[in-house]
Order: sequence, then structure tokens, then C-alpha cells
Amino acid sequence: MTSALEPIIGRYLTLDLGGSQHRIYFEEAGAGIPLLCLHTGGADTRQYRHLMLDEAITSRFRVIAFDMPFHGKSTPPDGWHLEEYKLTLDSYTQAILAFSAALELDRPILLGCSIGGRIVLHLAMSHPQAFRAMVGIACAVSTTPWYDTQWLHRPDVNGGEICAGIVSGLMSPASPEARRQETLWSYMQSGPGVFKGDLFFYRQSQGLSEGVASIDTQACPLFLMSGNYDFSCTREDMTRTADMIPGARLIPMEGVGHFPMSENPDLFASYLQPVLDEIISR
Amino acid sequence: MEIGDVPFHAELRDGALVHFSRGPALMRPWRFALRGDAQAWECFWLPCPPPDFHDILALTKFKRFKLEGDIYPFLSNLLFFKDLFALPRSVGSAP
Repeated sequence: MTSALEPIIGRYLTLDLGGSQHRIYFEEAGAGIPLLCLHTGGADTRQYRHLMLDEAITSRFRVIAFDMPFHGKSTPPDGWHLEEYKLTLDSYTQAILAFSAALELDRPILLGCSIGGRIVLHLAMSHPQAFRAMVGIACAVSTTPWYDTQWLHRPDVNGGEICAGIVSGLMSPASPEARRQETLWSYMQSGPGVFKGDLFFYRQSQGLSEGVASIDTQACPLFLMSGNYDFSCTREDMTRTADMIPGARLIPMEGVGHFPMSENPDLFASYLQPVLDEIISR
Repeated sequence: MEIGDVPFHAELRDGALVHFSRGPALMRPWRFALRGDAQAWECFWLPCPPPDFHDILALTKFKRFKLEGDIYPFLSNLLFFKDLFALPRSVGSAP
């Protein structure tokens, strides 16, 4: 039997968000330019564990990811049970900026996937000065809904299994089976109604189309990454988004879906490395 | 299920397929149906299906498959049914 101690460090941080104290869990590895990573809805930071173990990246970047409030090991605030969880544009924006400020990150690169990518577009519009560059994965300005989110939280359906079942087809069938199943595991562990509450933000923020044209990619370069097996946020959706934003760069990824960093970490790294190289060289 | 215009009827009990037959079966009750054109099923059953043909919900989104009837059993056992319908992938040929 072999054992291996990983270089990933996990810690807790208390943040005041919306007048409530949130005990936020975060992980990090590496040193250098901060690379702040945002997980998908209904999941947690474990999606980035492979990125945090990639020495080609951690030798140059301090890779950091936090479990959003209500996710992973972040404790929900006192009184969480008294109201329905709903992520909003304001609460999401506040959480990211407060976390970055608390860790005194100096203009991190912001990378986010799915809802994490959608908020990247918003922050590119509202707070470009706070970030060195941005990478949005599966984050079109709008997508076509393909299921009723009510199924994600109802008493007669197992919440973990339905959330995993809904997203299972968003990965490439060629991605390694173990990584696909690991990606689903975090969806199975999500709190009741949390994925549905995250999608409130996703659907609330549909139709960004007018605002994104104002994104200044000279001030803050923006890269948009799109997996060809992602039928939720399609290549067409991402191409349309890139076309709306002067200077935005579309990175087409072949052979991955909606969760490239966790479903096929090596393939994802091969697409991300050149992006990071370009950001550094600017 | 329907592959093109050929109907099949499957009966499941306690997670096991206890009956599977080619139709038509007249006046046989059913809970839910999955219907798609033959080409879409063939692509879905390739060992490594192409994008948009790799998942039942992708095929319903893009209107190649139709899910009809009482979809509660399907969605409340979604991972199971996705695996079940994808079984021909592992044997390499369509039924």
C-alpha cells in the first residue's frame, strides 16, 4: 500500500455576507499569481483538486477555490432552515469579492464554470479592475432550458440522485469513467435544494446580451472555454457569446463537456495551459 | 420504447427487466415511453456517441427523442434508466 500526502491545504474563513456570518471553507495549492476558481452549481471545490495537483500550474500560480455558502464544507449561516436557499447576482458577487478581499488577493485571475462562468461575465462588466484576467467555462449569456428545475427538490425524489442524473449526460462519454463518477459524487452530496437554488441565479441572469458588449477585454482579458459534449451550454451558445464581446477569445475544447476540470483533468489542463501562458505574457 | 416506427415493450420489476418484446402490442398499458428515430438510436448506441447524441436528455432537448406519459418513474430512477437504455453500447450492436 502506498500513501501520498497532497500539497493541497484546506482552511476555514469567517465572512460577513449579507449581514450573516458565514464559515467558508477553501483550499489552495501553489505559489505565484492567484488563480481563483469558482465551482459549478450544486457542487464544491473538489472539482479543482486536479488543477491544484498539477505542478505545471502550481509552480506559477496560487490556485485557490472556496466552497460557496451552503456548498461543500462551508457551513450555512445560523437560521438557514428558515428560508429557501436562492443564489442571486448580488449575493454571488458579494461572496466572491469578499473572499478575495479577505485573502488579500492581488488582482487574481478569475476562473469559473457554469454558474461560476456566468458570474465571470457579470464581474467582467462590473469589476474588471479587480481581476488580472478572466476565464469563463460553459458560461453563455443565455441558454435554452431543457428540464424543469422543480424535479431537483421534491420529497418523493432522491435529491442527490436526481441532481447527478440530470448532469450526468453533460460529460463526454470518452472522459475517464472514474472521473465522471467522481464528478457526480459531489452532486449527490449537495444539500437539499441547493442546486435548484443555484439555478435560480443562472436563470435569473439569462439575457445578459446587451451588457456584455461593454466588457473591456483590454482592461481585463476574457477567455471563454467550451466543451463540445456540453449540450446544456452549447458550442453555438458560447460562440454567440464570444461574438458579442469585442476581444473575447473562444477556446473550443473537443472531447469534454460541462465539467472539464473534473471529468477529464489532463485534457482540460492541455487547453488551459496556453491560456495561462498568454495571460502571464501580457 | 420506439425505434423509428418499431415499438418495443419493456417490463421492469424491482430493478430487473422481466419482460422485453417487440411490438406492436395492442392495448397494452404503459407508464412512460421513449420514442426516437432509428438514426438517433443508432448514434446513441455507438461505443462513443457523438455530441448531442450521447445522452437521452440531450436527444430530448434537440427533439430527436420524445419522452411521453408518466415520467415520474423515469426521473426518480434517472441514473438507472440512463444506464439501461445505454446497455446496447456495451454489446456493440443494436437490438
